[in-house]
Amino acid sequence: MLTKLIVDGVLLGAVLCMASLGLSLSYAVFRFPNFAHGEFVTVGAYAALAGADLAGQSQRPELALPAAMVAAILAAAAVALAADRLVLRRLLARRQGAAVIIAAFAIGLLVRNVLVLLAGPAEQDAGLPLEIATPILPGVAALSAARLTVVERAVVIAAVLLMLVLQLLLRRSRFGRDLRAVAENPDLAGACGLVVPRLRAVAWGLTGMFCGLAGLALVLLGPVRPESGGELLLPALAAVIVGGLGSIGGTLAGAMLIGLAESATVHLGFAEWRQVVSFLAILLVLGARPQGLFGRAA
Amino acid sequence: MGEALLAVEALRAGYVAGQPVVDDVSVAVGQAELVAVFGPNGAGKSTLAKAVAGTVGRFAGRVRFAGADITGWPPWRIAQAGLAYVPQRDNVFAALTVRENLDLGMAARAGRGGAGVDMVLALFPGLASSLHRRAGVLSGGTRQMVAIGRALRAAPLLLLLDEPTAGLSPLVAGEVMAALGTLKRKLSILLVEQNVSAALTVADRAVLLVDGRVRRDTGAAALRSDPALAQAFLGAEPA
Repeated sequence: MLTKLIVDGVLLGAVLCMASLGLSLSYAVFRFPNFAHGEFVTVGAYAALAGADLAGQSQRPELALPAAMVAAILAAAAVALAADRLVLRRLLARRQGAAVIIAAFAIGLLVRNVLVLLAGPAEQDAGLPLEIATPILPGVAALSAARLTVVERAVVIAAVLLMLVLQLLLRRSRFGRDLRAVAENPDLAGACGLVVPRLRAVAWGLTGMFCGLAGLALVLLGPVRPESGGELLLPALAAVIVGGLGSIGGTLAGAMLIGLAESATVHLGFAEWRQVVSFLAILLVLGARPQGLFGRAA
Repeated sequence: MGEALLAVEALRAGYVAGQPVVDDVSVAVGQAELVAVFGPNGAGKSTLAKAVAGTVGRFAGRVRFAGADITGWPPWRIAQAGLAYVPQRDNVFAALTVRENLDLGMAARAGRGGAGVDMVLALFPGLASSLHRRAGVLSGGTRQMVAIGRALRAAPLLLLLDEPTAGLSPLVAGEVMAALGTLKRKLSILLVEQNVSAALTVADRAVLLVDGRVRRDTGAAALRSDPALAQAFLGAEPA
């Protein structure tokens, strides 16, 4: 049972990690918890379904995955950019923290309800053939319970790779340095010659890209509903806070911890308590280490 | 003298429309000239600097720089045109290393090629040992050197400095002023200062700003030889 618990936890952690990376990025650059983030992921999921559908209708099933990916990224990025352009940008510029959070929350609800109108409240899936989970390490009898499907393995690998890519981008590239400068002091960044609006737009675009990929992962793993992304917001927020705000590697660690904790709760027979786990994790970590496990003290 | 490199003409600027902090101010800076703007607290010195750099509202008047009307330009465009602004507070990126701060200055170099880190280290040798430290842990004087060094990486035509010696010990303030004396041989400097005596050691011209308006505008040599005139400026210096 322990093996199964860990494998389920890692898979859940990987999904959370994918959903958290964009949240971590937008927090690092714009310094506010984006409560519309979950819906950006949902938009990615529905766009992925639409993209795959389009490829299917065109009798090009081999293009279903690339079409789903491109559609998910473009749609989520478009919604993120529109939300910033129409609402968030002005509030962020005036440094109205509470108003930004409420506005983001409202944007999330709006997007969710538009999705209900467009796609209906019922769950939808990509109609993928049922896949049999196979042992991860077929040679080791003791770990025969550790089983994942090909898609599940891809999601775990993608989560780790995306974390590394984002980490390298922020820490090692000129673009990342510029983004960190804009995050810390947009006025000074502008005075240094950085075209601040362009960098902000790219940051939202990247956030959207991560949301789109997270949405695609949701679609690949099972059916989605208009609430699917929103339901991930709190555990994702917990992962970001537990890992340490602004720490990308910490986000992966935080997501894995939350994933394993939720998995343990379910396997130990307290399934109805799993939602509480994220909140408990936030409270415990903030009480003991306010900057998060891997965050730097301000 | 031909056209000045920077010409502020009857500029009115401030934070709230209808409430100008700087009113009808005209200041010119020529090639390789160091102009110091003095004035008591609240005279509008910092606002003037911000208005030239494009970070506060400009309500009326014009700012001309290197032959272009930059009055309505956003800050990054002004920086890329070769006008490097170093604010008084929060003028380094605390979370970035000194090296990253310095390299970031290249963002404004536009077509000018920029300057190497060596050039900054030649001016401020003390920075060499701190290149990999985060700027947030540095002393005020070292931060100021990082901020000026970052501005220089863009090979600017004009350096616009807001109180670079504020909060510094006399020794470090003297070091910063000496560096400005070296720099003005190659570029123009508009310096906003409270420390009149320190700035007069390097200034070519001095402007006295009171209540958002220019009270006096005179050559620094005249100031040094006319005690009464000097008194008008020194009177603005905090005790």
